[in-house]
Amino acid sequence: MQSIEIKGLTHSYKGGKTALRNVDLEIGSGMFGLLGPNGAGKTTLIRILATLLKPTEGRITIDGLDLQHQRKKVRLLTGYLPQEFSSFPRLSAWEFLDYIACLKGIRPRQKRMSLIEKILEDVGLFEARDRKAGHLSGGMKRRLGIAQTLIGDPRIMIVDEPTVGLDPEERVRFRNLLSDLSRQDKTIILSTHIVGDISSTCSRIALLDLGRVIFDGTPADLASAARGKVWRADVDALDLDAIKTKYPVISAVPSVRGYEIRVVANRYDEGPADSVEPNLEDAYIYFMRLHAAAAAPPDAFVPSEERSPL
Amino acid sequence: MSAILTVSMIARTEARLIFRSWAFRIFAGMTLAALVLVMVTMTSPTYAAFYFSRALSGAFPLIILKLLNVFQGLMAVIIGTDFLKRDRRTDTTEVIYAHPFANAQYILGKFLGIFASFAVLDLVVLAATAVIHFFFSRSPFAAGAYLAYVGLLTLPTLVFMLGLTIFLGSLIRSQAAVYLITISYIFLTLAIVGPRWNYILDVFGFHTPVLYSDFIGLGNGAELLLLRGAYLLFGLALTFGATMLMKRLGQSPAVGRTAGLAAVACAAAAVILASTYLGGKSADHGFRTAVKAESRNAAAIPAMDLESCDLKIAPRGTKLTASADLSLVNNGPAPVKTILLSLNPGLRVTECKNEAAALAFEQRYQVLKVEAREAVAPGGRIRVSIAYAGTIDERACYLDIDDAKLDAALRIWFVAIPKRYAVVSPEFVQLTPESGWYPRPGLPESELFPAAIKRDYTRFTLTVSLPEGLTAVSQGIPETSRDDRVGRAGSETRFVFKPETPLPRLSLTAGRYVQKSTVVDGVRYGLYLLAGHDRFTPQLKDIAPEIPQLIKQIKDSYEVLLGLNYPYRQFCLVETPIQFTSYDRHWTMSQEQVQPQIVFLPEMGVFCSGADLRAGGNPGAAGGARAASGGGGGTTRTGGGTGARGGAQAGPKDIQRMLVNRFIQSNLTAPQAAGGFAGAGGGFAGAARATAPLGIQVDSNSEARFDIFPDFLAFTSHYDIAAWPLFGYASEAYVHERVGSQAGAIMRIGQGTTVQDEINKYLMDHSLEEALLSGGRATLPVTQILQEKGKTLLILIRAKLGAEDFDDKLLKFLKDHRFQPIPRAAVESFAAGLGRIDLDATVEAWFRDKGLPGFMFDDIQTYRVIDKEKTKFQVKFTVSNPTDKEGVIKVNLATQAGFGGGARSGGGMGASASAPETRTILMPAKTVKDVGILLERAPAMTTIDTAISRNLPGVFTLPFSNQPTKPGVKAFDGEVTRPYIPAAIGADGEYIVDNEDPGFKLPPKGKENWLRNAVRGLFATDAGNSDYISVAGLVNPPDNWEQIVMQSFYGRFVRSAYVKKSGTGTNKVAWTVDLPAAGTYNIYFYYEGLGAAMGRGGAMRGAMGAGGGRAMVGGQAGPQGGGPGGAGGGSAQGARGPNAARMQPGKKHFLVRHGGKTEEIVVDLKEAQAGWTLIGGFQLDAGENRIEMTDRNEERFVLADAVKWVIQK
Repeated sequence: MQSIEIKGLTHSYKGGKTALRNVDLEIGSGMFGLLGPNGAGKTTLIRILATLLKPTEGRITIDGLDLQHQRKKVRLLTGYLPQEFSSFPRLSAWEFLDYIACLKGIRPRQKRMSLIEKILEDVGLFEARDRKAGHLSGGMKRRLGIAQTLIGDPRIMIVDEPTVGLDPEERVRFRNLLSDLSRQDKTIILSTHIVGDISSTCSRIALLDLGRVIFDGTPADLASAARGKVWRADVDALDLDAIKTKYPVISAVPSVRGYEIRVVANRYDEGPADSVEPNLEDAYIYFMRLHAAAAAPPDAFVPSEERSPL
Repeated sequence: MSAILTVSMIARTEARLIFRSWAFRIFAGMTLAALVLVMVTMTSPTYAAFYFSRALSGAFPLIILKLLNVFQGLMAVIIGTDFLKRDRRTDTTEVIYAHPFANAQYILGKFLGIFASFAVLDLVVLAATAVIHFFFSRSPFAAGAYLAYVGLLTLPTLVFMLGLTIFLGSLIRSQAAVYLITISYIFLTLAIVGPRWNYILDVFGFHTPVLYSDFIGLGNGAELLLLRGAYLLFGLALTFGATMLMKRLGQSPAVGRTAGLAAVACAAAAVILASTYLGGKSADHGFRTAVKAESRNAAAIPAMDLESCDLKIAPRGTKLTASADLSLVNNGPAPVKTILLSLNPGLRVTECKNEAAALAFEQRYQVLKVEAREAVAPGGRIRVSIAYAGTIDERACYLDIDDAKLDAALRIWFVAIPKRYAVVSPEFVQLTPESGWYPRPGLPESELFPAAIKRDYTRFTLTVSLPEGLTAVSQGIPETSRDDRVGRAGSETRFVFKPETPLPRLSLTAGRYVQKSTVVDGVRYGLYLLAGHDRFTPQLKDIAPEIPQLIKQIKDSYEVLLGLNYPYRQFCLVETPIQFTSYDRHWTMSQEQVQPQIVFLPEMGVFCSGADLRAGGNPGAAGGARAASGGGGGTTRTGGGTGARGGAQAGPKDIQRMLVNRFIQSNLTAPQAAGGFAGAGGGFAGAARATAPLGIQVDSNSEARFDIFPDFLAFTSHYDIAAWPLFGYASEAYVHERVGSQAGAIMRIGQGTTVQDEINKYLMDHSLEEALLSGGRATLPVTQILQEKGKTLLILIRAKLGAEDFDDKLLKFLKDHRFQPIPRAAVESFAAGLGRIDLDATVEAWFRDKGLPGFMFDDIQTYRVIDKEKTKFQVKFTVSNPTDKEGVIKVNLATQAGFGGGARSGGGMGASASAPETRTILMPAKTVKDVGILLERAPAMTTIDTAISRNLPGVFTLPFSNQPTKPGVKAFDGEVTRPYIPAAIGADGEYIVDNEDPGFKLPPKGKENWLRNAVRGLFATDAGNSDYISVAGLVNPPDNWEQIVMQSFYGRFVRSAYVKKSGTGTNKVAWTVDLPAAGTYNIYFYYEGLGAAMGRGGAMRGAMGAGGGRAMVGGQAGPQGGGPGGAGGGSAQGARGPNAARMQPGKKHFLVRHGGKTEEIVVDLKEAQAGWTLIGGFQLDAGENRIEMTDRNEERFVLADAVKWVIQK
């Protein structure tokens, strides 16, 4: 049985903007990547899953529990880390986790204490346990965030854009932490628009664009869908700008002739080019630019400022 | 269980967050610091104004908790909205919200968290208050007061404000909007609507009457429970309501529904409590109306007289059972079948008997009609025994007092005190005749007036059974016996009172009293203080053996001064709860605070002047108070006698004697008239005010007076004259003047006039009859008019009779008619024995006539003359009464030795002083009198009191600087009367236009400074409606021309001028005159000599500080006598002339129209003399001529008074 089943999920905000359109997903245990550009509907979906938002239509079950009618049980099952987590600045890491543990109904105190101690050690915050949240670094705060999702040992963890703003070292550390957790028979839903976050960790990916699921499968399936659509070519420096206007250029590395470029295209007509094996990033671009664009409905909810340029 | 733990964790975390927030720390720290400062200030004996807070066990914590309540309310808004702001940070909130708890748990937890934070703050404040109270305040400590205030004030306010803030915060997303709404709401309730509508909107309990008394606790606990309970429940309703508005998906519909139901239930309960409270209030008014209607229905039934009354009463808990054996006599002309009695409607009659036979009776409200089996013939008697039980319904008290006044709480500063008129409680009983606690024939006095008041002189016997430990006080010295029959109530003490004289009224007080008594000259003097309340006698320990002697001295001098002796064998001062309230009445000067043989003093003497013996006992403070002339009237008059000893040299005995004298004089023997002045010497006297640090005015609206005078007259003599219902009051006012004080009449009220001026202004257009019907004005109670008018009636009668020994005869007459009604015939025969007078016409005119006489004084001079080979001092003046109303003036002359009241009170103190030279001069209509007074000593000054007249100011003072010798001039002592013949206008070639005349023209009103007006309005403490501004108003002169009264201004009767802030010269006033002939005229203006007036005003101010009235001279006498009373006094120099300090500055700019052009004349006031000052000579045409003055002046203000044209021959 799948952990999470989403059927016909649609959500419209006040004012008529539709953030999710008839989304169907089945999510099993392991790490599930929710990929999509800003404004694709990832956060809306995440907030619905975290019982913070009521969907306009559709049905979600989590471990067989109806999300709408059994919120309390669902909340017991889930841990949630929002996009930009911050704790109460005047509470220490320990106090904050203690508060959350209480809310999770963990009694008695002794049990809570040992649990918090372990979690703090797991996320590498034990030394900073008495430091007020206001005095933690960005990465530490994010780790405190993941620590609070771990309280109560939830079966399902919902993590929204966890690595935004972290330095590369913290990002790697964070990925590893999630990766370790995913091995504990948990379902981790990781929402991100950074392909790197999921390429190394997720066993399954859903690609969301303009409120629709445009891909649902394994990373390998995603990559293979872009097979034959990724090209490598050497171009003159003077031609690069013109090429960029025609094709999504994934990379442009200076070379002896000018630039060695990697583009996503159904066909490359600008000169000699080699078809190369796509990676996840190529596939993501392929889906966003070539595959899905044609299918975009005219009233799609695309906040312009949130549409990240490729 | 888990749900509760979740709530408690949310609460703990919220409290932790609040404690760690700087907003809370700073606010709490500031609150604590401010409150501790207030506590320290109030406990310091330096500030006599705060005596009440050092004396009443309930006052100190109340003030602190009231202030805390306001601070806390503001904090709750800030902290409450802060929590909402914090929760709007979705990154944090969503983490929390995604966890499993119900919305109601969350809101409740948050609420409890904030609540707990405040609870901790409150506990800290309470602990500090209790410690300072217990160790430093000297007032009794009552834990009950703390509990009551926290439960009834702090808790409901906090719960309500938190509920409101959380609810609004959940409803409105904008924190700024929530702030704005809640802060506006707080301002609105505190400043505007709080005191209105029976305090229903007073969320802070700031205006709601609450004060704990050691006698009876709160005294209005049930009402408070309803009102404050409504707030508590409504706060809870809002909190529960907020859970439904919380922006989070709920998880437990059942919990949500329960919270919703709780919100509805709490709101409904709150509405029920509030409507029960309001319903009770409105029912009170309805009840009073019904009681009055019942009186009207019964008014026609003739009343019998009560010869004797044997009362047996047993108060138990909040009820009493009683029986009354009445012996009634029919003194009326017709047989009486239905016996009309009145009894408080809360007491229900169970049985009426005549001998052994039951009598039919009907009891409706306060009216009890008993049917005699046979009519009682005129002169016949009947015995009626009545058994009754119940409790006193206080709504039936003071039916003559209007509802607005009854509803207004008794107040000291911002402490509002519930009013009680009678008490029957397990620990304390207070029953005065006003409560109708025993059956009396006829209707209560309040229902009879203005028809003749019924007053029977009855032989009373009162038997009171009380639970052991309670002491009863009533008229007469009790025989006490113990009854050990063990019933449910345990053993009892029985008190039997048999007053030795017939009495018009009887009171009963019982409580846990500790009594002290002494017998002096056959009179037992008793002091009854509640156990634990005697903070007084230890302060007087050094003079304890002298107390009887001191009492004897005071009593003797009072009796000598008054001319009447004390008629009873007992005199008691009895402490009563602070809530016990009484009012001035229209038919007698006595109040319920004073009963025959008994004066009820308020708890710890709080409304009494000089009760703060501890502060007074401090030599520095006492000396300071005496020297600074800031004391209450009595205080400083005493100061006149004792002040000379000087604070520094006075030993403890001197100070203690002074304290006793001061207390007795300023409260019992010569208190201020109503509307008196502050008691910086300790407490209040009458409606009073005292200044505390930072210029805070600590005032009180209590009318309570403790004057023992009624014992000498009001309770012993009664004029039974239906046609002259006010004759008794007039007689009291007149005789009281022998011992009383004029300070009240002299005191400047709110604006620029004195009480007497205000009375005169009122009586110009109204008769006394109208005053009684309309109830006077807010700033001018009828009783003040009555006191002044009352005195005048007897003065008028005295002056008309021309009997020099009028007072002696009157006093003898009163003594001869003690303890019996005085019929009209007796009064008429008394007057006939002294001279010729139409009493009926005199009283009638006094009561019904409008309009007042006015007096003009001229040619006041003093010089030495030789009379019978002795040098004497002649004072001479001419007084005219050009009006068609007769009147009286009183002339007081100060000689170098002493003067008026000062001398008299000195007499009271046993010091030597000569009697003042006082003359009363009858001024018939249209008469001129030349008056001569011969004095043995050189006169220092004269005070002329025009009493009830058009003169403004009504009292003025003229100093005499030197007495030249006038050889050959004959001495003259007496009056020469001639008719008043008005001089034709301009007959002497002079044409005067005063600012009071029609020829004086004001420009249209210009714009006023709204900000200044608003600020004035905000801080105005007196709602004075005077037409005149005060001298103090010159500091901030008006934007438009306003009238100001001063003795040195020009005027026929009203010595006034107009004043305005200096301007650019475009605003002009004009004087116009119709000149009969062309010619050269000298034009003069009246230079108001404000400097001189200020000199005198200075004397006046000194006088005010010194207690006003006659003490006015204290200011004058200061420099001469070297006494401390004159510290604030003005100059005793000549009022006018070169010595006058010129405080009116700048130049006057006149515009004179002559010869077809307008000429500007500028007069530099530095060169001017006070009085008529020449502007210049001009050739003027016949007909209307005009001179203008602009508002241009180099200094702050400009004055416009009178202008005179004098033709040059």
